[in-house]
Amino acid sequence: MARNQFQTLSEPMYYILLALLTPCYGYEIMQKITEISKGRVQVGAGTLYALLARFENEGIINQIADDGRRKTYVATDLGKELLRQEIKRLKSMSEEGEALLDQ
Amino acid sequence: MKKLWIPLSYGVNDTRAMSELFERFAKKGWHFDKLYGTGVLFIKGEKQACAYAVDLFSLKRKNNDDEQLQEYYDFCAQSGWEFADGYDQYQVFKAAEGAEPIPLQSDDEVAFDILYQQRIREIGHSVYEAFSTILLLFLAYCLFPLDFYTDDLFLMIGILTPVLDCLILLRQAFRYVKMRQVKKAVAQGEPYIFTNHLLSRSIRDFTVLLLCIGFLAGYMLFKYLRHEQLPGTIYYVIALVNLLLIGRYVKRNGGRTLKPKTYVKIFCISFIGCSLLFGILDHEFAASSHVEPSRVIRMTNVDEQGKFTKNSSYFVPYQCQYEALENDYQYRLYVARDLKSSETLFDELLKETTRGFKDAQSIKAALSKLNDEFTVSGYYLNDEHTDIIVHDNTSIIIIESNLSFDDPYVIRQFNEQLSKLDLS
Repeated sequence: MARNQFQTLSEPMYYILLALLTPCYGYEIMQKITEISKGRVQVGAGTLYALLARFENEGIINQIADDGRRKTYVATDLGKELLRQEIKRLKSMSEEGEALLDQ
Repeated sequence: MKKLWIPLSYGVNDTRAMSELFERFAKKGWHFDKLYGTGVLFIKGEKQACAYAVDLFSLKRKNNDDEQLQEYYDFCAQSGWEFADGYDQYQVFKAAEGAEPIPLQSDDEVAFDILYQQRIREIGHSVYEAFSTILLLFLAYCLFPLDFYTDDLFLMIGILTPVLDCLILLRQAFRYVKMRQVKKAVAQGEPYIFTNHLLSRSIRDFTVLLLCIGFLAGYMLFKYLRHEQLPGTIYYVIALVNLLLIGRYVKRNGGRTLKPKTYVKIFCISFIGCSLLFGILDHEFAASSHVEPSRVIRMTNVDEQGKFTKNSSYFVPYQCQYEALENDYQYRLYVARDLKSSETLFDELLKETTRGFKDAQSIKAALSKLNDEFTVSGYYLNDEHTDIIVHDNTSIIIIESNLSFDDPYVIRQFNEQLSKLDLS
């Protein structure tokens, strides 16, 4: 299915936003993603850097501190809303799948 | 320390192939050192299995982006990738010893998105360059029409470049449409295949470079063999070629766009260098004088047959060279395309011809004895069909302004005048 910009989130997008529910800086985000996904998902530095720039441009995350080379980001209300929508979508997908499998 | 430079041309979708190439070289003991616009420098070391990653910096490069770039390098370093070197958007990283880092681009869709942005930027640059070149040529034509009329090289460049530019624009339009289609397909879940065009791209670019150098060298050789002077354009052309080469081969300001003043500096140095070099070489190419300083010129009516050699250049379709007795002096007869070009051609030829004579005074003295009809200061057009142009008794060049060159008539007229000279 075609995915418009941020209408649905890819796995790295989803986990980056999850990590940014609390303020984090670059490398911390990568560690947090590994921790949240129990090592299943790892986001490369290039991917993370590109997505952070895109998210910031779209107002999905905000930069809240700039300590020279270390910038700290946090998800905005729009970012949280996107996460909620994604979780809802994933839940309904999961329920639909389970219902069919249980028949 | 042994070093190895290999020419390499690469595009935005060759990053993965580049990483593999660097890894193969490392296994053979050649370790990546520096990345250039058209090549890579390796340093000899131990044979090692090293992991490399080539990534495209996702943001548009600016002159003040050190902080952003450093932040990006820090991201990569913290995840086990040490920055090795970069050129423009291309950033090369080497895996830290003992580390097993996750790929820099862990998501193909994001990787494609960065690639797409870069490609669109490349297309934009290419279109901008093509339009700028056409505009510059148009300005040059308006400001220096003489050069366009009289200089084959300038004309060739003036015609070939816009044609090539149009082809480039057409190609970029196709590439743009194709990229849009690929983007749509990727958004619909189709995987994007990162290609490997390193070899074909390098061969193509190297061939184009050789062709350009060959073209210039061939042109100079052609001039040399014909004992003709190199036109002034050659300095500009070579300085511009140098500038392009410098831009591509020299490490640029940490991968950023060169500042305009740096471009100007490079151009000036290149231009002065070329002028000095060709100023020295120019003697080799200069038309040699057929008049010895103390020699008395004797001109009589000559047999037309065998005294004229005909040549043709691509842009000056018909040239006829007249040689007086004993090869003492050369007159040139040119067929120009129209009156305007015959005038401009005359000016240029006059400059060139007088420059070729060491003993201009004796030529002047000789020609001052020509019939009054021919010694009008400035240009003189003889009749409706043929322009016999005399300028200030300095030299004579006959230029016919229509394409039906009736050489016996022109030559007869000319010879009649010459035969009246008694220079003994």
